[in-house]
Amino acid sequence: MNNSIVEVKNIWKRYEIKRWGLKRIAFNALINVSLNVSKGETVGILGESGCGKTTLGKIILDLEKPDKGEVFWFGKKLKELTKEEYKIYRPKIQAVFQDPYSSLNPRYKVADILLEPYLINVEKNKKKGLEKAEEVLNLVGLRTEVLKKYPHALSGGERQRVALARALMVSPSLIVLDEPTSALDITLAVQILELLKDFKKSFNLSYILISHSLPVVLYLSDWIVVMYLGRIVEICKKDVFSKVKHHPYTLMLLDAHPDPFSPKRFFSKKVKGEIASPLYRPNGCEFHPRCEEREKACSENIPQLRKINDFQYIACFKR
Amino acid sequence: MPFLEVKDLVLGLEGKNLPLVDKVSFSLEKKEILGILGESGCGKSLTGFALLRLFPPGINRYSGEVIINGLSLYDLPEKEVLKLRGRKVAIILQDPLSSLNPVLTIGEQIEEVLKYHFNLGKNERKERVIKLLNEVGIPDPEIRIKSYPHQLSGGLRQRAMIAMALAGEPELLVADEPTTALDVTLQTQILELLYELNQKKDLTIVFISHDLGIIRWIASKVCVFYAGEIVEMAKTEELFNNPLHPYTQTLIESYPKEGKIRKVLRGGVVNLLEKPKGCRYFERCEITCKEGKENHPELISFKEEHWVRCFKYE
Repeated sequence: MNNSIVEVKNIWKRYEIKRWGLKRIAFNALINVSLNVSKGETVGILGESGCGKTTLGKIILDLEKPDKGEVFWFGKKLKELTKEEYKIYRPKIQAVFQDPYSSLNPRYKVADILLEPYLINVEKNKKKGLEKAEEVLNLVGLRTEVLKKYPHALSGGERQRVALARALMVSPSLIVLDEPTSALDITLAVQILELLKDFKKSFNLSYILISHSLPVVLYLSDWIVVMYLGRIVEICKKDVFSKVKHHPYTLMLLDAHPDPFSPKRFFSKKVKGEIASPLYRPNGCEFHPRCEEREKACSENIPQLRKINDFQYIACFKR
Repeated sequence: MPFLEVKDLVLGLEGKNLPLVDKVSFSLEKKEILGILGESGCGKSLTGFALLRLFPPGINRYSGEVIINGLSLYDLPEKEVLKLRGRKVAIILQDPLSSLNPVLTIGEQIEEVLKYHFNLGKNERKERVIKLLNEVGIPDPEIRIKSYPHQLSGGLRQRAMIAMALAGEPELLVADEPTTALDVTLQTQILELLYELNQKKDLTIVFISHDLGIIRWIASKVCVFYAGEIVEMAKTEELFNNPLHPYTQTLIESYPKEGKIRKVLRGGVVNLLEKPKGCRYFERCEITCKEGKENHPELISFKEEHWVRCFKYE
């Protein structure tokens, strides 16, 4: 608890959308989600689109407010932070988003992109800022010439490096990585992943890694959190991930991952079903319509996240 | 005779002597799935588009041929190509949101294909659209035909794209990274769908991707592209079990396996604007060879059905 950087407790998030112009429909994007990230730890959040993983990231970044539940930054309730405290903690939690094309301002030169957070959050000293920018660019493997360039003059991989450099400008404790490599080629993705792993060690950085890519999550994370329709269905420590029995949904994800190390010309068809819309949540366990192991109880009651052992929590009646 | 034959295709910037796709040749039997593997900018998408005689602005064909089912695509008059495109050959693209028209419902967009290529009544067309949506696994097709692209999830949009591509009942489908924008479970389902179409409808597929796993799953034959050239070509299992080219080897070893990366491919792709003389992979290659600096290796048949472009094997 002491070295907790971010903790969320029993978070609920509800969104309202307008359907056909008039009718308002509300749905839960997050249901009773609790999570803790300690210093130097990486938590990987795995799940399909619409499972609430990005919403969770936004809540952690304070870009969205939860409807119920508490967010803690550095052990303190986010709601009760004073303005001064907020100013100190806010820059400690940074973000890198999926699409480096839209997350960098096209009218800013790289130098300005990097300087902006520094001047606001660290100190109003352009000279020192530029020194820091050069240092950070060096870290992410870019030459200092890019400072004078606009984002459009950079390739996708370079842009993602700039996005990462921007996050590092304010010496954060935690970076929320929302699909940091999914817009990149495998060779570039591997380079970025390696950088991230290096930074984790050298700066004792924590990450919340939001991704749908199993190899990416397995590569970086210490803990793997699997989400489905706004709920956490499994939490598993990475060290034991390949050895233990998983939630049926995790198994489906494992099955869906195209592994270049094993041939699979004929599909198992185990991966099936549509992700239910959060507007029309299935009764009982949300995953049961797609589950191979479902029983009667699964459609009636909602399984709660239970501790299996020190390394694994699962929300499933069959585990 | 193979169903699809590409012969010494050279594509490049119009008006300049700058080939971006250089002497690409491959052939494909009917019902085969060819995987084109490569990093962005390696010319794999250009090659895909060229199979429909489509080019991005400023790019054109310098030389070479594409023969589909005995028809030489580049000898046909433009009018004939219009009849072929969408009918015999269709394409699905990476980003369905930007390749679907945002102001038309998906029903209208699929119908457009039917209007153009077939002589059908209004009701027949509607039935056909619903059938197509059903085929690609879109639930409640009767309601969905009235949806606009933004109202659909990413997976459904991609399915709608596939439905549109299938509307002309094509024999050859070019799939340009069709699952990159989707998450894994949907990706698997789209791959399964394509595989099923391949099996049931004898659809020949050219599948372009940078993802090794996907290629290994779906393709029966693989071309590895590097900087506009084919550097290795073989049957899928042969390529993955016995990669010859240093680039292919590093690609496979750099893929995270059991949470570990064994090798990282450093640097970037050679700049084609500088017209490299020697081997295009020379700068990044880990084997040192004297020839590669000045001389350009040819694609050679190292063994049966396995081609490689590397001096090591000459």
